[in-house]
Amino acid sequence: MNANLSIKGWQAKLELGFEQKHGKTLLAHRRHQGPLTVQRPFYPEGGVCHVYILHPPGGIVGGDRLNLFITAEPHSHALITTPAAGKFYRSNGELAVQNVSIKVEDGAALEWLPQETIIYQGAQLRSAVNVELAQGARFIGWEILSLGRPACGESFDVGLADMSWQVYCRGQPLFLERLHLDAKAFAARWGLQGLSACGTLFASPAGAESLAAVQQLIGESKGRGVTLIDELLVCRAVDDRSDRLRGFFEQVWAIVRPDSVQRKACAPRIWAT
Amino acid sequence: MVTDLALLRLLQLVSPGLPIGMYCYSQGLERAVDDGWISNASDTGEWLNGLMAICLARVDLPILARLYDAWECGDVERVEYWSGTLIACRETSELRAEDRHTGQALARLLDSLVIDGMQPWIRKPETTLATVFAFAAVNWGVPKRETVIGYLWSWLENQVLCAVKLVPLGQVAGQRLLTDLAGKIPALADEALSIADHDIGGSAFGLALASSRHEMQYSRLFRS
Repeated sequence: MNANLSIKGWQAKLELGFEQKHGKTLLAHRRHQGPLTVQRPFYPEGGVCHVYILHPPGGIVGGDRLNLFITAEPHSHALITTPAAGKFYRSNGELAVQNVSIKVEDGAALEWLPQETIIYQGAQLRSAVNVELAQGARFIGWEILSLGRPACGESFDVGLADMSWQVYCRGQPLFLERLHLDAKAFAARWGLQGLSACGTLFASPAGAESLAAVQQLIGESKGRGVTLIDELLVCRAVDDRSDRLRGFFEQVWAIVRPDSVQRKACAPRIWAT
Repeated sequence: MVTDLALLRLLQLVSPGLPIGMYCYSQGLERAVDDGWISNASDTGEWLNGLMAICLARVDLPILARLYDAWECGDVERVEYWSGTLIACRETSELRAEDRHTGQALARLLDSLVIDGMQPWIRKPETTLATVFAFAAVNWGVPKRETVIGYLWSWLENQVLCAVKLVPLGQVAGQRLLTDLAGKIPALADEALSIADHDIGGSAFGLALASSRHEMQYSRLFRS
C-alpha cells in the first residue's frame, strides 16, 4: 500500500437510497466519495434489490474513515452484503473509524448482511451502526467479527475495537450496545472466553414463533443464545471458527426472514463462493 | 458529608432484606455456572470484577447519577429519558424484566411508606431500579456519591449471595470476595461520576450470552 495514503488515510463516503417503483425496488440514489462503491444491483428474487458494497483497498488501516448512509424509502426492500470479508489491519497508531447509518421508512424492509469483519491483532478502530426504524419498518442485520487470525496462530493480545450498535424505533432508543473489545475482553469469561469469533443478529419485527424456532435450532449447543426484546429478536454467538459462526447465522436468518421481512430465504450467491 | 439519618436510610435501601425480590435474580450467573464458565471463587471474582468495571461503572452508575440530578431538580422528563436509556442498554428481555420488576416493587414499597411521588412509577414501563433508587436517595438526603457507592455495593452483595448458592461457595469465601471487590468500588465510583454523556455504554458479551441462554435454561432457580 502507498505509504502516503496509509498516513493520511482514506476518507470514503457512500450514500444509498432505495425506492419502490412498479413492484420493484430501485437503487434510486447513489453517491460516493473515495474508494467505497456498489456493483450494479440485481434481482435474484423478484422485486427485492440485492446490492454488493465494494471497498477496493480491501482493508481498513489507522486513519481511514468510512461513512455509509443507507435509506430505504417507504415499501422498498433491499438486501445489502459484501463480496468478501472486511478487514481492519494492525494500526500505525491512528484510529480507523467506520460509521453506518441505516434508515428504514414505513413499510420498507432492509437487510444489512455484510460478510464477517476480520480485526487483526493490533488494530485500533471505532465502529458504529445506527439503525432508525419507522413505524412498520422491517429490518434484519448482523455483525460477525473475527478477532486476530487463529489460523495463523495470531491471537488478540493487542488492539482495541470499540463497537457500537444502536437501534431506534420511532425515535425512541430500543437497543443500545457498546462493546470494548481488547485483550482483556477477548480472554475473559465475561467477554469472549478466548474464542476468536463472535456475532450478533438483529431482526425486527419478530414474534414468539421465531424465538421458539431459533431456540430449537440452538438446542443444546454451547455458545449460542437468543432473546426477544419487544419485537426485536437478538441472537448472539461465539465460536472458535468464524466460518461455523457464519453458517449458524445464515441458518438463523433463514428462520427469521419469513416473519421479519416476509420473504423466504434466498441467499446471495456470493456467500457460497 | 452524610448525616446520621441519611446513612441509616441508605443502609435500609441497600439491605438484602429490602422486600423487592432481588434474591430471585442472578443476572445470567446461574447459566454461566451451568455452562461451566464459573466453577470456583476465582472465576466468580473475575466475572464480578469485569461486570463492575465494564457494565456497572459505565452504564448503571453514570445513569444513576444523572437520575439523581434529574430528581433533585424535579425534571421528570429527564428522569424518563435516562430511565429509557438504561432499559435500552439492557441486553436481554430477562435483564429488562428484572430491572422493571425490582424498580416497580421499590416504587410500591416507597408508596406504602407514604413517600409522595412514586404512585405513577409503580406501573410505568420506563421504571428501573436505578430510577426509584435515585428518587429514594434524593428524598432521604443521601448524597450522590454515597448513592452511587451504595447501589454498586448492593448489586455486588446480591451477586455474591447468588454465587454462594450456585457455584457453590462457602460463606467465608463469599465474604472474602466481598471484601476484595468492595475495595474497587471507590475508584469505580470516581470513574462513573466523571464520565461524559457520549461515553456512557458498556456491554459484556459473556453476560449478554449467559443471560440469553438463561432464558432457555431447562431447570432453574432464578428469574434471570
